[in-house]
Amino acid sequence: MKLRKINQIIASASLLALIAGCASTTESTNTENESNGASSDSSTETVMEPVEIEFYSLAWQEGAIASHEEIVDAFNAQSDYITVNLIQGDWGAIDQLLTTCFEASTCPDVFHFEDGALRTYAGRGNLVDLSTLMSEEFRSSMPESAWATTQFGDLEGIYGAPFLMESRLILANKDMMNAAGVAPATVEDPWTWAEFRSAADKMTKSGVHGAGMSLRGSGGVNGVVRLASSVGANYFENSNGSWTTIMGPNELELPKLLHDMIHVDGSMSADMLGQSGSGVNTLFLQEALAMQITGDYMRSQVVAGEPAFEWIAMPAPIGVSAKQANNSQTFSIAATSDSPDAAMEFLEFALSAESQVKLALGDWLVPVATDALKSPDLTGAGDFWDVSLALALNLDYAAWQEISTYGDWRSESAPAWFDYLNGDISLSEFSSRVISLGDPALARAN
Amino acid sequence: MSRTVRRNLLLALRYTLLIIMLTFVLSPALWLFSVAFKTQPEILSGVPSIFPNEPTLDNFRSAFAEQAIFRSAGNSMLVSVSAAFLTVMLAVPAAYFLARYRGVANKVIFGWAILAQMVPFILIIIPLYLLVIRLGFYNNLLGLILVYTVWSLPYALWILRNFILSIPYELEESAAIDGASRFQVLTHIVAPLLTPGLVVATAFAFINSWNEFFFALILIRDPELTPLSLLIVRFIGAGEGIRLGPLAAAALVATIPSVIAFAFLQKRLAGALIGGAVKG
Amino acid sequence: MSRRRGRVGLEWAILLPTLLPVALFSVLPIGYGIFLAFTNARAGNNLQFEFTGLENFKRLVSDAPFLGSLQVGLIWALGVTGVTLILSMGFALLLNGNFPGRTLFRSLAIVPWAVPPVVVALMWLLVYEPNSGLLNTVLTSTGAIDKNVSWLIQPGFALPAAIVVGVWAALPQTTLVILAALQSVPKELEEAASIDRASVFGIFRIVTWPSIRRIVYAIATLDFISAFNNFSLVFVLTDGAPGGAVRLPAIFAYQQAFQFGDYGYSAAVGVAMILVMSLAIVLAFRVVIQSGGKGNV
Repeated sequence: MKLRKINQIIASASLLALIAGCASTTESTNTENESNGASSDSSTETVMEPVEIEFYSLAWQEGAIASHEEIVDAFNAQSDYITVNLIQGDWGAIDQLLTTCFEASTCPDVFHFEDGALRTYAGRGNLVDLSTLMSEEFRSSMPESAWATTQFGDLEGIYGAPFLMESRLILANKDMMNAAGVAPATVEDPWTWAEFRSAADKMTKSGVHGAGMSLRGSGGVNGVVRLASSVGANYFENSNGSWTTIMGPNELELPKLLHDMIHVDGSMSADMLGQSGSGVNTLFLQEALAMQITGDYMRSQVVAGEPAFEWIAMPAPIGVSAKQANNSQTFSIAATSDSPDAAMEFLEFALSAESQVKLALGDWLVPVATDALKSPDLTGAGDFWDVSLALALNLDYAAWQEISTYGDWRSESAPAWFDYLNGDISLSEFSSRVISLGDPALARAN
Repeated sequence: MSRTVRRNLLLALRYTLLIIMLTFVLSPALWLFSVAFKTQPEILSGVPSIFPNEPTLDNFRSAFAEQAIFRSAGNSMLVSVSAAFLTVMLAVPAAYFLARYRGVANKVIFGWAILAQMVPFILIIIPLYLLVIRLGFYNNLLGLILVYTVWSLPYALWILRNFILSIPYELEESAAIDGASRFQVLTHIVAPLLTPGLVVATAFAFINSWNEFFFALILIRDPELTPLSLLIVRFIGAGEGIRLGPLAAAALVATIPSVIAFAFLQKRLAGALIGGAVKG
Repeated sequence: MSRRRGRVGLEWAILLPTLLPVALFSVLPIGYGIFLAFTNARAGNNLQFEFTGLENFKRLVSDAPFLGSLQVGLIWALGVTGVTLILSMGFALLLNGNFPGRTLFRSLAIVPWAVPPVVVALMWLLVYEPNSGLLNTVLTSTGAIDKNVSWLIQPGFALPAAIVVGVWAALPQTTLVILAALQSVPKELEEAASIDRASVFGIFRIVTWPSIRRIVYAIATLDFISAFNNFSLVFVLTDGAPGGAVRLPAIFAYQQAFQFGDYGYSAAVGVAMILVMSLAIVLAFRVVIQSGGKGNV
């Protein structure tokens, strides 16, 4: 009995010590952050004493891993004071890492991630506002529409440096197009959605579907919503200060088109509802699909698949505009970093236009820096880099990218999308279900 | 039906059933095995075949070139063996105590063991992390070892306690009557009978430590110290990308030590001859 | 069994090396974790939380997704545990004994356990792949189905498909434990019974089962607990479990903590999980004890 009581006392004391200790750590980090913000001007301060910083990279393709290593080595070689330690991480677990490390102040100084996900951490005060640290030069090296992806409505500041963007395009089997007499779309003359639909119809025959795209789960919903910018669809509105779902004619246009392609034309298979992006690509390589709408990074997988047929890349179909919702990969600086200035120096080096070209080639995605887009290494590369580069100009910020629970909206409403595209419910039922399933998720963001 | 024929039929039946079970058990793994040896184009073509058309070691080469697989395997081995050893060392005396004695300590420890077993990982992940950092174990394999040991203990205690309870106390008493010291009773009577239980507890602690991912991810930052479980997921990329080939290769490398370790351990599963002890 | 109370000091001396790390790395975090359930701790305003008493629990009781996850969790855990027990029992009996090749068979049986959970999920994703996956390929070529089924997407199939994976993953460990228990059965009792010409089933019922019964209950309980608490396997398998069809309580708790930063609420889910499991186990043991077994874990 006695021992138990003693144990309890020790436990409570340790607990209190723990809490007190952790609280004081947070306080000191906050003060540090404030003083950094106040004292810096519009140019990056140069670091003058030996400093080590951690860079957490999410590169996973061979080329990308190599380019990250190259960049880190190059930086360490040219910097007298700063040493960057490259740590390789993975996309699946970065969320878990970030949440826990911010609690314990053990985060890497610079970390690689994507714009949408940063919002949560920005909201919690975990990220450094880069606008207070970066140079004018760096700021103007990238278009404002890209910087917009790492700024979040109600929060002041820029929370990440975007460097790679992804657009959606059509990868098509040229041989099949020739056989069906379908003229390809070009960057100057892209297809409308109606033209896309009829092209798919013409190329559908026994054993081959004209078109495919991954419609699985919340990722599938995301794919449609992003493309829907081209038909003027918003899916969300915030007129009275809180977000709600809208399902007007613009919003319903693409889902209806896809639904009809599946159930009326038969040019797309309902199996797409269960396919991942790589699953769709597999079907494309097997020549069971004539065209796939996918991200431009998928070109690397097509090349690696050594297809027996000729393939081309075409712009995604357009509606009233060629707009697609932007998304970017980013580098950010953690608020818990002891050396944000050193981190910023590294960041500006790593994301210079030159470096961005290397990074883009490694990941088969388009760079953000204006000069990088003009680089001959990219414009002169084969494999339809020119199409990707041209499409990048159409990427624009969409208002809904500010919604912190967009991911949940997609997950919660996904069953409604599934049922409609599977042909089990009507368009009006689909419309009302998405609203009723999705609005609670939006309510949490308000 | 003669005895021999009956025996052979039963044996044939045994083998048949075993093969059916093993098919279920092994087919997904076989899939992975074959992917590890397939070329990229073949994997991407999605043709489902067990045997690769042109078997290649490229995936292994990529995996080994990009990630320090041997070093991580070494780290994992160090952590897992240490954790397994510590777990058993701590669990056996405690389990014996739990099985044979009554008292307050018994109830408290048992209560803790059950609670610890039931606590979902998500509940304690952040408190545990904060604590381990505070104690100075950040980026330290010893921290992993201690955490894994403590978290394997409840299971080990539970299993070992039940095994000890199955050993009739009369055995120990009769040995004591025959003049054996307490220590001799424990090492010569109880321990051998406990071997199957020890095998289970060791295997559990080893494999759980070997495969553990989440806590290793947030505790270990230094590439030199990374365990193997963290390496495998690096082949999973953003969005839809998964580099199946190298991932399968790395997964195979991650799986084999556990299988070998177990093959080694399972030889000890042979039951002891309890009869002799009672009559003797 | 002796009730040796003498030498109190010795007991504690034996246990001290165990107690210290346990107190630090187990009791303390558990205590803190449970404590958080009664607060409104959030990510971001680090440890500036307020004690809110039972607020979180009141919210839980009317939270439909949470209750849904409890239901899914129970169906999943009972399904996985039940099927695993039956299969493991058979498997262990088959692996028991001195037959040629037993080392090989036993080592092969352990393979699923040796595979890291993330890899297990990926393997089964490949198997369940609608177009080129093993399952659909086999089923369509034998004519059992004529159209590829999206096993993990279609609402009716998702949970059963996941349960199959859960069973696959739990099978080796459970089999191993039961095998170990079988190995501890006094051999000459079995021999005596077979000399008496008892049937195979008779031997099992009268000799084997009573000896292994206690262990089987123990492993059943442990399997149930770890199934109910499962996170990483199902998380990767269903890609974050959208739509709730396979959303286990642990996944729900994870989302609360890591996506919404609501640590207090997540902790409350954790505590609720413990309560539900305890209830289920107590009920199960009532049933077992009443049906004549003297299963005392």
